Amino acid sequence: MTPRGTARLLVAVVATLGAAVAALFTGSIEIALLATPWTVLLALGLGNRRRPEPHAVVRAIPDRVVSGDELTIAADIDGVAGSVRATIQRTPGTARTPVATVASAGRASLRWPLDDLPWGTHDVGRLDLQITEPYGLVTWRGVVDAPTTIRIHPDPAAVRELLGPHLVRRTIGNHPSRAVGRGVEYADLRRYQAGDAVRDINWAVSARSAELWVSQRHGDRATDVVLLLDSFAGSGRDSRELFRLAVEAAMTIAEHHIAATDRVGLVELGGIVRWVDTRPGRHHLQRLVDSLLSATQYVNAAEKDLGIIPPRALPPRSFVIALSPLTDRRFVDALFVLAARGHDIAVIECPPAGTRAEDETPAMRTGRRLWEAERRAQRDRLTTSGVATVAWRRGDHLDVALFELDRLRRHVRRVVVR
Amino acid sequence: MSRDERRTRGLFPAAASAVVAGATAAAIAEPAEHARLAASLVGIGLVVLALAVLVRSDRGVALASLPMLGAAVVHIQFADETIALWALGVGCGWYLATELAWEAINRRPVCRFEPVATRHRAQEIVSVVAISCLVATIALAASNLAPRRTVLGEVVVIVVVLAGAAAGVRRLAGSN
Repeated sequence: MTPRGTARLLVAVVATLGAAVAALFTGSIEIALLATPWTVLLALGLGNRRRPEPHAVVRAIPDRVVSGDELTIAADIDGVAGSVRATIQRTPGTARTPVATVASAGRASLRWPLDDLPWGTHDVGRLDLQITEPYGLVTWRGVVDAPTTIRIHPDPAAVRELLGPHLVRRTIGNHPSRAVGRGVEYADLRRYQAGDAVRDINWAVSARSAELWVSQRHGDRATDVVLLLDSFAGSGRDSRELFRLAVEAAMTIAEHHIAATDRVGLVELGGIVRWVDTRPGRHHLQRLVDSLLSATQYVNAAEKDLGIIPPRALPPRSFVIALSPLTDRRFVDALFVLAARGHDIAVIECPPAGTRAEDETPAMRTGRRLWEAERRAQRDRLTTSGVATVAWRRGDHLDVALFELDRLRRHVRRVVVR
Repeated sequence: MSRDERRTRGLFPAAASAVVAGATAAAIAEPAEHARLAASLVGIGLVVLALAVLVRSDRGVALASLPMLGAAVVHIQFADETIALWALGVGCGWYLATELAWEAINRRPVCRFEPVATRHRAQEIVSVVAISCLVATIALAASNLAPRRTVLGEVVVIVVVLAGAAAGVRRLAGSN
């Protein structure tokens, strides 16, 4: 902490000394009385000095919230006397809301009510402190570190239908498989055989014929879902926003697949490659959400591929849902590699906004049309490899995008089979 | 905190400072043969104070004290009779005006003040004014009782009283 005299100290010293000298030379007691308040202020302020040794404990109440909820950052600061003005550093939306309060008995409690923090992981434990001693003659400034992380979750989007995987596991789940088994979806009819359950008898068909018929159903199975997140730092002006959009979609999809008893994993492919193994359960969902909240883009020109990812993070026959603006060649190449390995892949594309038509010069318009043509060609190549792609923009319902993607996947499958 | 609330914050201390500074200035620049010089200094002081509050300058407020206290000294020099209580009143008035001006400046940035902070600050200002009045009264009484009133004698009495007051306050603060 660094001390600094205030303007109050300056006036008090000048007035006291000046009045004392003037009173001596002029012989007037009135001049001395004129500066009495400043002299008393000096005596009280300097007589009550104490070097502050602040120690801060910062916490968020609660420590996990959904974006838009009210959140309070509380900081208890010990070892100070006087008034304390503190500002949280490195947290957007809070740097402009400092709080002043008074320490009583050496302890100050500060509260910041916040409701405008964007979702993500924030460190709120670095405080800029300005401690003004009693009577305000000296101010101490410094920074206090009390590492505190808060997690703000995005507002979850409602999804009614999940993407149906083409490949499923043997365990029971919520996705209808092509094989006949125990399930809900109707598959076929066959004649009754000894050992068939009475509840499987199709009484309507049996009544029209002279023998018993039973309904067969598609078995409900679980699957392995791997969320492949593109974290290559793009060059577009909305690159960051697109990444946030992709993370929001990933979080919603992960939550719903976990609820459907699927095993879900995460692969973050970008400047830094990270992964979370595929596992089922609510506890695992917390692990996924924490990873997604701390996901960020890194600029990296190195060639990144899927070779370093272990099989348990990207199991064979798993259903890969990629979330990307499809602007980085390395990520698109990874999709082709996965398709060649036999993975079932669906791509949710968060397309860059581009320039506004009215701002474009003829050269820019030509450039944009070329770029769009390239992207269309890229999408067609993916389709040929059996990868369906759907665009999802901010403001659109994810449910609609997933429905469209499911429809496209059936179409793409027919194209590939032919 | 609403935008209107932010905009109006600090207005009350600023207005209070203007009123107290105006009253003090009026007391200093009362009609006399020296009124022209004192009035000029008071005018400069008031303008500097107003500008400092407008541009939120702590040191500007401090600077405004120079012409104001200078004007008071001019008035004391040309006074015909003893005006000890007047000097004490002007001193306390100007101290109050500058403290309120600083408070107005501190409150104008986007910043929340806890009620306890305001209360504590008010207590400090009131205690300074109260102790000043007490010390000045004791000093005046002591100087009247002194057998021979010389300048040196008065200053010694004042310094002794001030030192005693400071020591007492320090002991009180230490015991708390």
